[in-house]
Amino acid sequence: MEETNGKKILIVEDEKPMLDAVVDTLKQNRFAVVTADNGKDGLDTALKEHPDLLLLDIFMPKMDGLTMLETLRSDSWGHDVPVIILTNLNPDADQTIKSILEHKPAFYLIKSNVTLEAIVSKIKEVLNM
Amino acid sequence: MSDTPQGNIPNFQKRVVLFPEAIIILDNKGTIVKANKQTLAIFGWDNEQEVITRPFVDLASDEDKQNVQTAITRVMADGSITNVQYLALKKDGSMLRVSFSGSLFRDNQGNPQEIVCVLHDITPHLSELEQVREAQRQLSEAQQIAHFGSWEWDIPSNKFHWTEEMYKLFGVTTLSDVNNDSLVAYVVEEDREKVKSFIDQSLREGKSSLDFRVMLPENNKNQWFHARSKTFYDNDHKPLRMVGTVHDITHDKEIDQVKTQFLSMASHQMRGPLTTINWNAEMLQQQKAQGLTDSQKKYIQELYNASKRIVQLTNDLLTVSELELSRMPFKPENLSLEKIIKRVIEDYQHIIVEKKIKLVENYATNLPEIQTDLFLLKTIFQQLIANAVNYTPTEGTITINVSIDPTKTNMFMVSISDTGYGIPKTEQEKVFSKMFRATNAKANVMGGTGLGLYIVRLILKVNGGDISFTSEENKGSTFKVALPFVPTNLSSAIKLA
Repeated sequence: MEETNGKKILIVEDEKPMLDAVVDTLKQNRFAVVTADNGKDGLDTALKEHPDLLLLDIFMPKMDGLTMLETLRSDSWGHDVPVIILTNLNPDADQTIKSILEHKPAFYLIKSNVTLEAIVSKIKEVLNM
Repeated sequence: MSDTPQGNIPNFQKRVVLFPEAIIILDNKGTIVKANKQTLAIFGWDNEQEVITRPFVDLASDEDKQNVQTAITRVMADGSITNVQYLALKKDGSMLRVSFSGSLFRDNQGNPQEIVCVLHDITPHLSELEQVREAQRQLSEAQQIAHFGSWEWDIPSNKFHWTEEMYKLFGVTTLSDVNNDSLVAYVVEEDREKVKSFIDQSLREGKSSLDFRVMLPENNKNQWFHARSKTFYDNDHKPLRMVGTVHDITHDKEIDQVKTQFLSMASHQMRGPLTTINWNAEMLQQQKAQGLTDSQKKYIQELYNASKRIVQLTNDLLTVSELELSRMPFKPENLSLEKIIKRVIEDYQHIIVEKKIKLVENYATNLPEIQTDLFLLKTIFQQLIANAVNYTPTEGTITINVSIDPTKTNMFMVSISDTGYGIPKTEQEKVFSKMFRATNAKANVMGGTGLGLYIVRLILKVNGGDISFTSEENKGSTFKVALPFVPTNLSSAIKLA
């Protein structure tokens, strides 16, 4: 039986250790979780599952976070879904990354600088929980 | 006219080979036939073969070739000549002052056959003028090798003198007219203000140095030059003369940039594994209740603490690289200095309370807003307040004063004083350098990357501000930050520190 708090989070992250840590933490906080390890699958899953929020990495194979977000935002549902960027790149590392901010993520978090607890609390903040 | 000696020339020649004087024998056309060991030694030749069959005038410097030729003609006519002084050329191109005397030998029919000359090196008697010429030649040679140009500006007459290498550096011919405008025309537009400040500073303070970019017509890319100057004044302290050097540092800048980019890449990549360590340690700690022994919990805490320190270091390294590569974003907005500082203090409130530190804050009334980048402003005060808090022992005092600097135009002055460990006098000049931590700092407080103040100073330079401090070991330190109301000098973000 699933005891979730009613919110579904999609995590798109290609590095397994980090993906696992976030998944475990979210599950502990009783979120329903779906995952993808590349941008293409992430996009497909998002459009199929309509999660309440996306956690999105930038550097990924097959389709990077920026391209995925651009495409997502052009979808009528995808246009407004809250997205939190979860990356290790500085927002000004190059132009590509700066452009991510134009798609209005709710937060831009640098993984090495945030605790799992902080990620959860940002998610809760965005979802007004 | 003396008797011309006759006799057995070949025997005579054998005897003079090892003679302690320099002896050279010419044929009746002035071509060298024989040169003895001493001659070779004076001129720096290894081997007689290097000079035989060459005209004697070849060994004279350009200005003296005519004189030497005339002397030879006179020997042929008069039979002998004494003490002809001229500048001779050594094998390596340097010059030698020489005196030669010569005597004509005729063959059995009385025809001029050979001239026997004795040469003396009288360089120690070189006239001052020749010494200067020689020194100039050496300087020019050195400048050519190092690609270092030097210049001179006679200020009252506004006349310039450039050495050959300066012309080469700028790609102009030696016949061009040189003045202030011709120089500035080559400087990249963004750096022209800096060049002007360089001259102004040199006139005011007697010396200056500058890195600046030029765009030369024949090259398609910018080049970096480094200039240094020194000013000479008259008795009324009016500038009389400015001299200086310029050399090309494009290569050095490129290397520097590659290094910084590498540092940036490496630091970015370190974040991945660090994240994994941190998050796993965090999850282990959350499972504290589930069967971890006390020592295991302690080990995890140590892992976590160490990992967080590396994270801080990589963040600082990335900040440094971004500032040095001018990639640091600068988004000016209008902010309240007082509010920002108070917010930063809040972050350290718990340590202040724990260490029972007395905090005194004085904000001048009616402070105008400051226009600057929020992240950079916070970084400055986070570093300074963290330093004050971390390096002040329990029950110390920290005093923060924020006011307008009455001695400058549109400049805030923030001072942060503490009664902490202070900085030893012998280490004070290194305080703003990279990776520097004072010995007493390292002894008393763990952690700290040594990059903090370097970053603060870089940021302030980008902003048009500055930082200075006074400190006494075991008494405390006061750091003073000057911040302009609005950012000035932004385009010089590249030339920092």
